[in-house]
Amino acid sequence: MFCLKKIATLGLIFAATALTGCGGGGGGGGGTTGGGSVPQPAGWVSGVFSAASTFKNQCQTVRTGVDIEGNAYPDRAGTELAEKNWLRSWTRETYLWNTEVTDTNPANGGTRTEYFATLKTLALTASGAPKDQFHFSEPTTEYLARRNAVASASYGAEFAILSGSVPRDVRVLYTDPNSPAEEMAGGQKKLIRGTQILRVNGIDLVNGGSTEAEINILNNGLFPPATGVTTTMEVRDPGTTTTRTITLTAQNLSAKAVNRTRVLPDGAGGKIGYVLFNTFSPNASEAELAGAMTTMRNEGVRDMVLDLRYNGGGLLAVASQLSYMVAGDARTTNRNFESLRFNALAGSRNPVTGQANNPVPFYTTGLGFSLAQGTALPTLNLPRVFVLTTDATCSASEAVINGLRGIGVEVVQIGGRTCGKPYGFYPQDNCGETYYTIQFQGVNHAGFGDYADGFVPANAATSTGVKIAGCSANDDLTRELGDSTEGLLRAAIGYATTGACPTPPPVATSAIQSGAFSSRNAGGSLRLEAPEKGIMDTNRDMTMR
Amino acid sequence: MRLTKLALAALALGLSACQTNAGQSAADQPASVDLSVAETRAALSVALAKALNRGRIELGVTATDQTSTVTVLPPPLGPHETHSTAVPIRFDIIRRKGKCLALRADDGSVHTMSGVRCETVK
Repeated sequence: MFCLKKIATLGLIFAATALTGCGGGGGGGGGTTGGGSVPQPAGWVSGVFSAASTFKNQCQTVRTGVDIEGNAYPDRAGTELAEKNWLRSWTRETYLWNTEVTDTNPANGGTRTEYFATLKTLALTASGAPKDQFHFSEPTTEYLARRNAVASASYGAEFAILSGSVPRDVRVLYTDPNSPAEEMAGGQKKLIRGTQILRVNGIDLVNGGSTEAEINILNNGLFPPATGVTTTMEVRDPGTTTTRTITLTAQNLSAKAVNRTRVLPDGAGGKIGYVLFNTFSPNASEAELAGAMTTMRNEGVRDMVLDLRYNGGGLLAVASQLSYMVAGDARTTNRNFESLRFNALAGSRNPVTGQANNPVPFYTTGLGFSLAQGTALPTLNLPRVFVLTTDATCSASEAVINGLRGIGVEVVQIGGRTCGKPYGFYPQDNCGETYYTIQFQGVNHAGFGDYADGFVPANAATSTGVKIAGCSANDDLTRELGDSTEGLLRAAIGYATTGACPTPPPVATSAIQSGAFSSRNAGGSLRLEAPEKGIMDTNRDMTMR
Repeated sequence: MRLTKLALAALALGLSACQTNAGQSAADQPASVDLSVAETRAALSVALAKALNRGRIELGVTATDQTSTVTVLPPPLGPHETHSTAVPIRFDIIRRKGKCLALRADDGSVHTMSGVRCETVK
């Protein structure tokens, strides 16, 4: 009888294992594996860790049913201590800097998120900035809702808060093609780059907003909560003193990856290509980029400018494809775009997926995101590329810079310091909270990936960051993106022709220089919070006082 | 005894729920599906969602509706996922002993496709 029971138990365990092992994890990521685990101790012992799987999905509050993606919740009845034990072991198994985490007793009190906040390195970079600036969590319901919100209510204009304190300064960074912002009114587009917003639905945005109700009006006007919302704005275009009044109606819009392309004379009888590429995130980015590069190839451009100044990253595979299309076959064959460096405990495996840690190649074909799998990508076969940057140029965008440099392509940087995020993570749900902890560092074919203080142009007045060829310059809101007189693009064209940076460097308005897309200005008593757009936005105090 | 039967049944279920004999065999024949047929697309989506242990999936772009290769898109990225390794998962359509199967390219696993019509590629 004992034998039969044992066989039965084994069979049930095996069946359960087979059922749960049917494929890769969806949703917030799969389970974790890792070496060095020991049986669960009776209590906390410093430096001794049970396998994270021991504690996974043992929840103080159990969810039932399915999530918005149709996946059944895996929760079982548990305790907050079990949740914290899972965080501790999961950190040990997957966190990149796991040996730099101070191991504290999870039973010592505090919530699960308070405990998670302690599970990170406290080391600093060379510039004195925290080494780990990307450690956070959010409710899984919010995570799932946001990642499934492919389209959202918008005018198709991206706003920058240059000054959060009175007098406030909110400008248009760019507009999406064929969006409400680009509708014609009075013989011109309703909003253009650099347009300053002065009043929203009758409230003075610059000096008003003295009550919460007024701030709400400003917020709902700038960031419409639903499609169909109509907003009246008084605006002033760059270089003018007159004001205009416009009315915008929000539509359901998806982020446009390739905003615009241009083919410009390089001043030496050739052509220079320009692509404003704002996000690697949507699946459409694959096909849009391939289309843009096909145009550049057909035009026979001799140089290429990638405008990544507002590109916070996204799909690494698309970053690889972009790099391949710039560099071509000869420079990329048998070379890797990026390898993932995990903690030492992981060995040769990816500790999150449990699979072999294979590098990201230079993808030469479509992968099926939005371009049919196997479709040959166009190539430009260029030995150098210009990249326009600001501190919003982040992550996968920086991987393009690093990946191309790793195979000997000259990358000329025009603009400001990039954000400095050579790191990635796999968001992981446990018991209703989705956690983000840095799990890998991306390194290029030459083995380099230490740019946590960002890339900076060679002539920048700083001693930190990775200096590469190029010119330091401020973003220029006085000209449209893709206009050859816009500061960063003008500097790139000049460098392409003369090999030198413009003198004096491109200068924007004083407000723009001082604002520099940071909304950390102090003062005032009210806050205007902007909706989250991406990691650089969410890593900032997006408030306007 | 009932417990043993239950266990054996569960074991069989575990083996057949999503995956047939792993790997490609010499007897396999390349096959194709017609994604312009709504029923085929729907049944394929259900089968591949099951294969991937997801509630639902979205098929990637194919060059033609009649295709011997399909891809499953990764879940969309959240706003914080700026350095994502996600890629579509490729499945090749094959016939084995008259049945339509999906061969997962990255791990070689083979999955049944209940209700999916496929034709041998000649």
